[in-house]
Amino acid sequence: MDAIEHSILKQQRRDRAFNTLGIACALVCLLVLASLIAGLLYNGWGRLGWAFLSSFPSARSAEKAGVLSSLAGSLLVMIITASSAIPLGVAAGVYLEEYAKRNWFTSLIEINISNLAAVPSIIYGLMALGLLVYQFHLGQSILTGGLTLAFLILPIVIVATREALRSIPQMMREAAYALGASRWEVIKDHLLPYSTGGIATGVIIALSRAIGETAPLVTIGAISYIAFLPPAPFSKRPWLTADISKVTVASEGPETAMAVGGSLRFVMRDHETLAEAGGGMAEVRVGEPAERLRERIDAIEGLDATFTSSGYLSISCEYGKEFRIVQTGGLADALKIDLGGGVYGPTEWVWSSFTVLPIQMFNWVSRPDAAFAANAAAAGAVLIAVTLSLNAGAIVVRARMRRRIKW
Amino acid sequence: MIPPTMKRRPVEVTVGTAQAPARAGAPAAETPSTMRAPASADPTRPEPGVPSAPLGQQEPSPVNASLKAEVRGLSFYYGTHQAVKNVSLPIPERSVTALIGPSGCGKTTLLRCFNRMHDLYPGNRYEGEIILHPWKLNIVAPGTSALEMRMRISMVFQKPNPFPKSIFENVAYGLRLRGLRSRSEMEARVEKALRGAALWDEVKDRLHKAATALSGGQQQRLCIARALAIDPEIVLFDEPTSALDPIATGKIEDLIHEIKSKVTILIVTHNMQQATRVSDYTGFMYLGELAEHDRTSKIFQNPSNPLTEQYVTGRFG
Repeated sequence: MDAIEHSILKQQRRDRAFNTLGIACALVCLLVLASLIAGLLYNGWGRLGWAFLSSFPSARSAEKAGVLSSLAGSLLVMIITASSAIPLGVAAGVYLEEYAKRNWFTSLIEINISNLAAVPSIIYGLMALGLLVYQFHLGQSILTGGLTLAFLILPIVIVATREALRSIPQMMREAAYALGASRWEVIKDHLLPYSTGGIATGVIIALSRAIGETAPLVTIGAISYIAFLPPAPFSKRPWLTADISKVTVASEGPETAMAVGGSLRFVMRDHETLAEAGGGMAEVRVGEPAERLRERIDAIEGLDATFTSSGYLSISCEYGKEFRIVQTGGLADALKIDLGGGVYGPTEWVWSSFTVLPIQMFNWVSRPDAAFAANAAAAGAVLIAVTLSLNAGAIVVRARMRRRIKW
Repeated sequence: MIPPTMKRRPVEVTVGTAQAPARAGAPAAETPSTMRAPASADPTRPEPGVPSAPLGQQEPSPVNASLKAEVRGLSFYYGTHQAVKNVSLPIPERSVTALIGPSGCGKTTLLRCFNRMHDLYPGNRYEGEIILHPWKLNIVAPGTSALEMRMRISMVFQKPNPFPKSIFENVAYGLRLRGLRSRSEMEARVEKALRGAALWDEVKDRLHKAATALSGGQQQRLCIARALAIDPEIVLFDEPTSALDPIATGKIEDLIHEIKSKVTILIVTHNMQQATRVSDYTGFMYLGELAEHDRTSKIFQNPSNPLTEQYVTGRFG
């Protein structure tokens, strides 16, 4: 009897000991996270506020600098990443789990997907630089950044999809097939709805990882100082400007000018378009790769656009062609070319250059001025808030889907 | 093949009193032969398949009803393993045919040939024919659409497997697959199917609640309603009550008895009492072969194959 009681007491002691150990481990994780957030808030509290969220970064004054461009960049890059990685990853997972025959080829794909998940992110950056920037000429744009991060998280989404599909009992598939459903109907009506919760969990983890990535975006050439927002859909397109002294213009009034032959030269630098003007460089950020810009200018009636052998974009005006002059007088006299249409298209923001919150943070941290360190901490707090709200959104979606599926 | 040890055991079935109604009131303990011929195990249950004529007068051909389907020389292979060996079996229209036999004898495999469920897995191969009457369609021919066969022949599985959706959606799904869009007609047909599966009164107030909240027996009747909603020509039952308690089992058996006036039924069962209660014809399978097929009463009371006799009297299996 004593022996039994003794052994029970021993078991209970062990149980309590393990319980305490478990709580301690959980607390370690919580404390690290809590102290991290507390530190960011403590250091950055003075800067956090609406002005911080709605200001562009400033090179001179830490107090006036904000995260507007990097916050917008992070969110827009995430939109591209999510909208390309989720359909692609889910489709690949469905294919591998439901369609692919088991043979050496699919095994090869499976092994490589697992390996891809372990590849360092900077390698993805190098691949994107070679493939997207140099090969496909997508520029150092939001599109390139979003696709780079999509490559990065694709394996996670695929693996999560396959796990979610695998956890659906085979008898659910048989029940649906037995009613005469085709394979696609089984997937669309049953497998995808039943696995949405599992897929959403994988997507949350993947997006949380992507939003904190810096290395691959620096590799493809995301800029750390950006003082403009990508063009909003249907917002007014700016004029392409050049000093009128470079072309012969017969002015017929304040509203119109006539180019009497001649040419404009634009310097191409890093796929950004800069208009050569007056004494210096007047930047014209049309935010798109040079080749696309050339095609669009070329399409305008009365303008020919070609690349010279030295890399200049040469624009020739047809004789007698009228263009609008927006401002006249002084240095501001400029020929403004309407780049076709009056407003930006709904997807033109994807061609804009961008920065993201982690890059902005890194930029501020590396400044010697201590005031910028506070900015970095505040930007870190914003980044964590964005990540948490992305996760919360995904959790809401998952909960809604699960409510519709009643196991 | 029949193992040598199984051959030529003396037949020990009492034939003279085999007529079921005559034995209805007999106490179970009266004679040991009652145990071996369980056709009348439950006196309250009707005995649909038992002919009133004495067994000795039966014609050699067991089936004289018109046929709904006909298995002709069917063999089935899982890769290189032959699970069904040259089976020929008539399936009479609007009656219940039971398949019995020890585990691994190929009865479920044979059943799943009828709706081409084997097509879902690689490496499976059919040989021979299953002719679906009156269309003269060979169900297992490569040129026959498996989807079409599954729309004509529905199935109820061993474990209740309702979709994790509402009760209504479970029954409606097969109709949606067939392109039914009209809401009023959908509602009418779902109700009809649920009534046909004796479930309507229990679920009519919660049609849009989760099907998985139903009890096991209700779930299985829901699966029957789902199978019936599409007006199938044949319903396949794969041990439909093996996961259910006796009361739920009784309800399912009553249901099978009721729906057979409208639809041809093929049922695999491990439970020999169940076979006698619900079926008109029984096929006994052994090691992939159809050892014997006859009227259920004949199989259980006067089998011609000694192996069948040994199995139905519980000496192996």
